[in-house]
Amino acid sequence: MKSRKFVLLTLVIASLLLSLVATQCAPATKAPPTEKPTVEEKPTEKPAEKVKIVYWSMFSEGEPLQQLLDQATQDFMKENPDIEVEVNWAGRQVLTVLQSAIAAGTQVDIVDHSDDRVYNAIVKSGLALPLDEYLDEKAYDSDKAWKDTFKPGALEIGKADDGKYYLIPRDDYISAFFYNVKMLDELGIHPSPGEMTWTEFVDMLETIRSEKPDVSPLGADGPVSFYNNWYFTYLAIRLAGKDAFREAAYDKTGEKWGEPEFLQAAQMIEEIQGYFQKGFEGSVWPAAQVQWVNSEIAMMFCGAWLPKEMSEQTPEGFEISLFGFPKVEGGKGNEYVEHWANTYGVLKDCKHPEAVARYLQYITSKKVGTDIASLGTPVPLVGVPVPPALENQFKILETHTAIPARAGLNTEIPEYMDNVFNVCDDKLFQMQIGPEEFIECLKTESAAYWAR
Amino acid sequence: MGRRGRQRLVVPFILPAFILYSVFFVYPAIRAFWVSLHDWSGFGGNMVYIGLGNYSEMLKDTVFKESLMRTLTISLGGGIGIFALALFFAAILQRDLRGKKFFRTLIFFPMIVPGVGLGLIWQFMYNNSWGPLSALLKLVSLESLDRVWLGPDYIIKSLAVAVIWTYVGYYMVMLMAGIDKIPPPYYEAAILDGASEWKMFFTITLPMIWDVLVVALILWTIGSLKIFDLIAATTFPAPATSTYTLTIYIWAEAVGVYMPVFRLGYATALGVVLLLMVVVAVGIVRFVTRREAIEY
Repeated sequence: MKSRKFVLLTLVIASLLLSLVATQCAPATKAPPTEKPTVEEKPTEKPAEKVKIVYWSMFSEGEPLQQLLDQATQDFMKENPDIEVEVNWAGRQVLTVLQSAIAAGTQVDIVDHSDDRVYNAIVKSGLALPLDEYLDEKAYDSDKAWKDTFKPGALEIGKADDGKYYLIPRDDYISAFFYNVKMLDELGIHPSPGEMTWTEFVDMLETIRSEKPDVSPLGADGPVSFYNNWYFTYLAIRLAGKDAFREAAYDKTGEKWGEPEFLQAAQMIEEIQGYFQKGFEGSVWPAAQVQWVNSEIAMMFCGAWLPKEMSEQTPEGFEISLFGFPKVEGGKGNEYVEHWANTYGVLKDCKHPEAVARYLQYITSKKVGTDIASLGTPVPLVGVPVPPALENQFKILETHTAIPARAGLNTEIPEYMDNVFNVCDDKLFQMQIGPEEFIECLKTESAAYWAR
Repeated sequence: MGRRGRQRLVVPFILPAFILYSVFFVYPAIRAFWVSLHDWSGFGGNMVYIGLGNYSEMLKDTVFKESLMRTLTISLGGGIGIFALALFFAAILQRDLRGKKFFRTLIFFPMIVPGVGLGLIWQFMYNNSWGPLSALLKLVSLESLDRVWLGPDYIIKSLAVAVIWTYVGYYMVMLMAGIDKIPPPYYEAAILDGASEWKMFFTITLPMIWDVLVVALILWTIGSLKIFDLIAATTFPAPATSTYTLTIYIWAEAVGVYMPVFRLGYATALGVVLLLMVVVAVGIVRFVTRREAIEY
């Protein structure tokens, strides 16, 4: 009798437990389905079979670009009633959640983020669909081929080593000096968008410092490593050339960092450190950017998202323009400018690639691109207006050779960049070490890294 | 009821917890160890078995070693600061003071604010341009003491201060609960014998709350080695590599949050090492603090 009670009790508890575990294993909550457009069906015709595609976005609900893309998606579904687009506004951690989604077999067809992240996440892993055949198709709102609606060079951002195109750019950026137009106007300074020399640049900094002692000529938020390393990267490429810079990073002995051009680049950084705002080494983002729009700092080196990022804090009448990183006299790499984009990638397991391509063709159409550009975001599409603050971006791209971020090293060897390059560069940029120690750091840490 | 009968009765009651613990803790830990033996980005099923390759790489990884040192610095330095202050506040607030409950609530308050919120508060506090700390120092003509609090020279110390401020209330409340249980006659007898406050603290209070103190130390050891949200939020949007703690490094390696590094296999190996560190650290704490229980 007692053993029967024991068995009964155990069974009851086990079944309660199983039901608890079963509820925990229920599918993750999906984003609420987007509103289905009402389509009037002709009584005599059978409607086309509706397919569903799933897009996981890097935007969070409420962001201006999210609201625009959401509306564009609704409009797309009205025009294409046979395609339902389910969007998950996952935010900047989209690729993090994508890892577990793929493992769980959740349907995800399209994902977006910066090109280096999407590339490393799904292209390098062999999970991405090549889009070449769809790029040859007609564009959504034009008789041209889809690929011809992009500005020259834009699609190269999404091209892999196998020569195929895996990523479609939505908004593209260069890095440049963003400056306070009125402030420099008052000083009679009118920077050339793409032809300033280093000597002219330093002279300009000195003029700002002497004429406006309350203003810091340069601004930086020192703890942001991937902003800091722009300076050395550009100077190293300007002086030694892109290939020498890349070879030094890949050199397993680290000794190629000992080339004289790299020491010279570090010394040039030391030369301009006095022009940054006081306490820049500990200035937490976006403090320096806020000081810039408040006219306490004259210019900042940043990506072309800066004007849009600061749009809500920018006072009325604050005019922004940009010029490219100065050329170094006698340098071997003065023709380069960094160029990258936020891109769409398609997973190769998607069941309806044609529907996915149609959606991407729509979302990268001139109409949607124009709407995106109206928010101040640069768009690499032919015929789409350029945001006024970024007019010089496209002038620079026309006269320079575009290279990926940090000459491609951010995508190819991101761990090296994070664990070696940024570690040493931060110490130099934040004035903890001098140029010679910086070069020694690069040599030593590079050798240690490649020996791992 | 005999012993066998009691055992039979206990099994169905501990079975649910045992199953839940196995499913949600033991299995993931075993699975994590399995993943750590592979080179894997985390995307797709392309896991390449490399045995102990990730662990041998860790031995040569300077970022891992430095992250570990920073974690231990915050754990030890923060722990000393927290428990010194927690004991001090607990001793003071056990008396009949006016506003005792108000001060206890005030000191405990940071614990109810999410770590992300606290991190942003401390970012603001440490801001040299408009933060209250620098402003206060200027106001009282102590500008010479102002530093670049989140610069490379001071950031770890600044983070340690933020950690101490956040957690001191939690451990103070734990210790106060222990002190409240000490029967007053012990203190009355000590006072009659002419014992000073310090003497009473070391000979009565501390020995009698020893068990509570050990539990608090263990909780701190576990929590401090895993601390993440406060660090990530204070150094938002991206901590410099030179400020990585072990948990931040695991995060950075696993999910490409700062640079597009996706190395879930290596990050899992780092996580396994962290788990072993917690187990060893707790063992050390228990060994060092072992003594006979005092019953009263």
